[in-house]
Amino acid sequence: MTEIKTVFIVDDDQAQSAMVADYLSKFKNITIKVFTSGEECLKNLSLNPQIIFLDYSFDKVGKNAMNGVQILKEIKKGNAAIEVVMFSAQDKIEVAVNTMKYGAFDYIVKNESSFHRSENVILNIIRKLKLENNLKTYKRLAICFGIAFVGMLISFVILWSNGMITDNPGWF
Amino acid sequence: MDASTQQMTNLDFLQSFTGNNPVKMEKYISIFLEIAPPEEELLRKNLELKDWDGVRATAHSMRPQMTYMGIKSGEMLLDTIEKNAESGTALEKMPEHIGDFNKIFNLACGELKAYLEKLKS
Repeated sequence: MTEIKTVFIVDDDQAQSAMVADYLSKFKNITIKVFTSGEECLKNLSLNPQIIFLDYSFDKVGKNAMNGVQILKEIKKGNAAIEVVMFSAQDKIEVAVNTMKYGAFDYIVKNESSFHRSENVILNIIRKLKLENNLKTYKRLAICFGIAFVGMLISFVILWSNGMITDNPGWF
Repeated sequence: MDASTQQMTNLDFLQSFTGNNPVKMEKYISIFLEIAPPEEELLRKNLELKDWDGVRATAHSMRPQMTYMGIKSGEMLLDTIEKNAESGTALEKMPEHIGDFNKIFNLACGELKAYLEKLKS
């Protein structure tokens, strides 16, 4: 499936969520759902989001709130096919690497270019899904050709063993 | 330079982001004016309590909104506050930094309120 139907934005920053949701509303076929905590996001995974934009820290939710990496791990445990894109105001490379290690698709620093980057990430995920789909089709085709080839080979052996194929077919 | 004579906000990014749509401009500025003041208050409260992790967390969460409202000097101060609170360095300068930030923040909010009034009229 290459079509993205549902995207979650999970951020305790109301303004950031509103701006990202507005920017991504240009994707007319995508339903965008906004959640303010990781716990809320996890409860709604049954809505089958294909992409989740997830904040790295949820300090506003409370000191006991799950952080971005904990939520990322839970999402991936539930459905590894969901692409998670981390959002953070931190531009530290080690933070980005850490999130990628747990399966994040990308890491976006919250700044003026983060909205454009979010759009690009969606386009990249669509491209990736198309490539995966094409790969599946090619694999199926390769299997079909393989089966056909083996079938032809078996037919040839049977015909040959029954003397129906000779060195001199008598055409000349 | 005296902060009171400077323009604290630069709405170029927001104007470009909204395509100069006054309804959207009003929406984002209103959200900022609703959520940022309690956070700024929390920053000062955390300073009083010497809750450095609280200071770090609040400065961290306020920073992106400073960027979007073009409050460059406030954003830079929050960056310093966040880094110092995280590393535990120059904590003696924290009241000064947060005091400076408070001045910038109040001026910026005043500018944004005036801009909102202009948009509404």
